[in-house]
Amino acid sequence: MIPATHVLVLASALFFLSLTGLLIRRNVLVMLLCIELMLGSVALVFVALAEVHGGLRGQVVGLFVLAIAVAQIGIGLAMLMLLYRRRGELNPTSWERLKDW
Amino acid sequence: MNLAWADAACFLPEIVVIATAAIGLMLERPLRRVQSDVGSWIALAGLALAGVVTLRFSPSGDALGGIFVRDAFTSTFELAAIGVGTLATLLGSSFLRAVDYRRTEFFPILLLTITGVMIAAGARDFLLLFVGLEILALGGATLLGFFTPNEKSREALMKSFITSGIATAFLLLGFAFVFGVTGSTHYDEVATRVAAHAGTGHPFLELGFGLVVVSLLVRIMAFPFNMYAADALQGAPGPAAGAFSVATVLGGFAALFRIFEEAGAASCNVEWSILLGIAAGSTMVLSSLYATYQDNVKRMLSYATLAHVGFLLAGFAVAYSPKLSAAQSEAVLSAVVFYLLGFVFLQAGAFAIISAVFFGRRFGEYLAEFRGLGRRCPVAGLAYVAIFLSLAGFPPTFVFLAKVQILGAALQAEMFVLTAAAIVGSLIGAFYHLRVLVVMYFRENPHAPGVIPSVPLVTAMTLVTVGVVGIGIFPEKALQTAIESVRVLF
Repeated sequence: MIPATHVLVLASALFFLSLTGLLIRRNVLVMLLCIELMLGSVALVFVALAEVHGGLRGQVVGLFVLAIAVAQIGIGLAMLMLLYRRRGELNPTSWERLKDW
Repeated sequence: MNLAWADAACFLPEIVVIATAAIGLMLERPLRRVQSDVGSWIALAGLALAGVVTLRFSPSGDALGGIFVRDAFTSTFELAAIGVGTLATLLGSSFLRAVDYRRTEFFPILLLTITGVMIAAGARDFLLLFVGLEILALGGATLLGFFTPNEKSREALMKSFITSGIATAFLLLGFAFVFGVTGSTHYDEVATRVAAHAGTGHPFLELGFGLVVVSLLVRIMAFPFNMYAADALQGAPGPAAGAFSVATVLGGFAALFRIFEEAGAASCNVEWSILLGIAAGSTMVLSSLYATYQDNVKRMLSYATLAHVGFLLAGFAVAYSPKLSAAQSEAVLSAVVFYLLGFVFLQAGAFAIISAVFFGRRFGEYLAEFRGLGRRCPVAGLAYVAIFLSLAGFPPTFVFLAKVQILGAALQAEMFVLTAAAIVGSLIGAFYHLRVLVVMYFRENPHAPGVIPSVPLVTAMTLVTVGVVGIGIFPEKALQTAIESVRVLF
């Protein structure tokens, strides 16, 4: 039996790793993957906490998070197709048509 | 927990809206060939039905084991959402016809977006709130990027999508912290445990609620999390920008109200009034200043949206000042709800004006392109006058009533800096709106732009004018609704 603390440490490491990735990478695809990883790590937190508190509520939340993450990636990939078709690259800093202040 | 008919009856307005969206999606292919407005008619019929159901047939009470509640608060926000849906459907049908972009799935996506608001308004469990806000965010982002041939629309989609994805992750992390401390996601149980920690506080609880509030500030586009908002609203097609801005603000504020009042965030050991007050004040002043610099009317109106959000948030912040009694904070919160009801009309009107000038390939956005619009299209002129009067704070308009109440409470709470910021923001707001009004009425355009006074657009503008002026002259009914809807939370 793995203690819940181990899982929580893993989840927080995963969360901050993906947050770092989101902040330093300049590619919309990788940024999208990092967001999904953040959601996955929070789902892991909920599952671990469900173990601590007993009951199924945390696990149910984890399942919902996964389902929503799938919906999000569905729209995200459609968006990537739209962005890539026009420019042939996915660097978000090259999209600054609206960036006057 | 069994699904019963009573639960379904509580969800009836949502079911009607989702069913309409499903019908619209199924008919999308055949409708695309025959070039007709049937898509918008289906959406309007569904919204009208949902409105009637909300007002007449849907019982109050808990559904699904208490995670969703239908009370006066839920119904008010649902009606506001249905109002946004109706106005945006009218604008959208005019937009699609003008640019000859026959994609009727605009209406189902719009309906699903407002379903997100309706669910978020009634959610009394973090799980359902998350689902509602996420439907809202995904639908809203899709709306912003709906006009895919336009590169700016794609950019708006990308910016809002990435930001809302990050916001979702932090919202969930906040929920996880609160769940870790309290062992529950249901507001009642969370509030009980929060009350147990009330004296000493609990760092993880405060961190959790802090993350949730930050994420909701992203949703309502408040400073310092609104760098994406002006870009997203400017790049999106006009009707989508109007619908998205109202829907996301309604959903975010509904969630804030319930989390503060019912999940016990207000009784945490955090100075909410100061934190939210800083966010509100800087939102108002900075967005008003940015707005004055814009030659692009669409971008200016996007910043004007943010200035409204700042004022709404200021009301919310004042309500949690320790210097106010419970009755006083209740009054301020009902002023905020009242303002939100008016915000629906103001936003729809503002983005209707944006959809009024059309040059064959693109819509007019720059100030010079609005010359003489007030005389060539009197409905658009009147709608803008109504919006201007309520923004500038002339007495017979409802925003004036709400603003007076919020400012009065801010003075009672001795939040002088916030009051000053609100007044400065409103004055600057009057200035930049007056500029557009002058151009619309007192400047002639040598090469007259194509105005498209299509039937749906004129209907939407008339509804906005009548709504703004009507609520201003007869505010009792709307005020009563706002007061009743806040009362159920206390």
